[in-house]
Amino acid sequence: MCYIPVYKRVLDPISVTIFSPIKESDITKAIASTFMEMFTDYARSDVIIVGAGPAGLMAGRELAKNGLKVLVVEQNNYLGGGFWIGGYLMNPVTFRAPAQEILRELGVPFRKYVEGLYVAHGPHACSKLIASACDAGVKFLNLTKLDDVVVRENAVRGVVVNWTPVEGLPRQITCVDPIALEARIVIDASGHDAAAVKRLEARGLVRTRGMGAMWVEQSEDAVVEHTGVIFPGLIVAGMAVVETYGLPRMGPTFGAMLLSGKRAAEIALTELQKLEAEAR
Amino acid sequence: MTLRPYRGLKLLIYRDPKSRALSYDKLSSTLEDQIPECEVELREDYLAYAMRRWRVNPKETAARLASLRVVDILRCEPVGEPLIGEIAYEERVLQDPSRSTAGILYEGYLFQSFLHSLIPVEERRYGLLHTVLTSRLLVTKEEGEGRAHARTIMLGNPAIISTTGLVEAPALPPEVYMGLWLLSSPDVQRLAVEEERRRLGDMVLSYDDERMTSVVVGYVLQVVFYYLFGEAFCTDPSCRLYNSHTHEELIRAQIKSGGLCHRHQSLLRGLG
Repeated sequence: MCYIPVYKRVLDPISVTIFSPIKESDITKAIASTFMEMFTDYARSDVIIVGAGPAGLMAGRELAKNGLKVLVVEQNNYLGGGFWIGGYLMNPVTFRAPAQEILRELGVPFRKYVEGLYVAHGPHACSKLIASACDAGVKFLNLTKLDDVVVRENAVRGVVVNWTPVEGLPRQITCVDPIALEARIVIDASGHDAAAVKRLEARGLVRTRGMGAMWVEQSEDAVVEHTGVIFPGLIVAGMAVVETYGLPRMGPTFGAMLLSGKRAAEIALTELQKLEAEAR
Repeated sequence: MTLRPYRGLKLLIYRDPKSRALSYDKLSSTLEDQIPECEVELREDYLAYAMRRWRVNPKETAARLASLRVVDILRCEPVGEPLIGEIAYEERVLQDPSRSTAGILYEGYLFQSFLHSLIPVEERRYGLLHTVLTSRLLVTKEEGEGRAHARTIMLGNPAIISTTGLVEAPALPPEVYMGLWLLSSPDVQRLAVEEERRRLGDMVLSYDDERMTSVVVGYVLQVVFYYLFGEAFCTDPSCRLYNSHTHEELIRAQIKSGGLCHRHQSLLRGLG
């Protein structure tokens, strides 16, 4: 038998093509119908997470593993937030103990740098976390920016979103109204933006303190300990916690983001149980 | 000199549940050896004790503590009305004091005044000195200046010794700060300070430092001298009552020397 190298077959017009023949319209339909199917299903979710950085991904993963419908809205095209890069455009990411246990759980290779400090490659850690969230069943709306939050009966019960590019275009030619997505709980993991919290602040429903001075050794504990409900139906996680409470700024370490995400998920589960008990 | 006849001192020392380095047995035995007719009673965390024995309301305490936070270090003012998440944090810490994080700052005078307000009348009598060890970091502003300064100690009754303050408040060697001028970003500056701390090793006091107990003995002596004689500090850099502003001074007074100057030693002996 004679084997023809793949590249030769591709270049040879008389040989058989590698990929199946398909109509362009089928590709479009496949994209649109798959998106719409998910979009329709998740127009009402159990939990909506604002921001697909490490805290948001971690929270989403934990909640989806518990069988909940979790939708993450991310303003950028890419997921992962700042988790791709460690600091100063260098991509190794660091974790203080005990966060290496989460890396182990995610299957991310890491090594001990000094006692209590672990290092992994950002692309590997970030892609594993994204994959793990997807495997757990989290759905994503990327290039989707938070416009507002839905408040019903003095509790956050959803988000109002629009496509990110809409914001960048002149208003007179892009008068595109946003749409609302409902959820029983919203988690603000939007990083320094604290986007959902700031929307509530603009309405006078909560106040924030702004970010404090940097203090790596103490800030990570403080972030995890302050992760929690900021307003009924709204949980704040990750760097949004720092912004909300004026906590010391973090350095380029990621353990607190992962643990904060995990804690946000635990709190969300408790809040959902309370809502179910109230409904009964 | 003391105006009242000395009839012994009962030192009520409240533990800091966060500090792993402190040996309370050593602390109490050393103090009882050094201070004539002194009895040390060790108690649990101050607020835990207040809630359990003095029936202090946890919810009100949490809200009050949250209101004493200082967020802007350039304007050392308490936040006043707290956020619900700040109250929730205090409630969690009241349930489990080891969950307190040192990154939160509290206005020192108001914090001390709040702790004072919790003491019941029967525990306010003369000869009973409440000394609170805490990991909470207290800040006060210097006269004529708005900026927050971290405190190692708040003198009075109750007196407060911050174990976090002992690590964070004293200054590092001047060359560390001079080196920071070369670094533009505050983020990098803070990382550089932490790296310098590691490099300096024994020359600075650290959180899990085995010398912490000896240092705390010296600070409790400052509390006792202030209570009995109205003067907490000494001008002799080798005396444990020296008001150290740098780690170098603190290590010299509390560890290398580890004793009182002749005058203060005599004052203490004179009590017996």
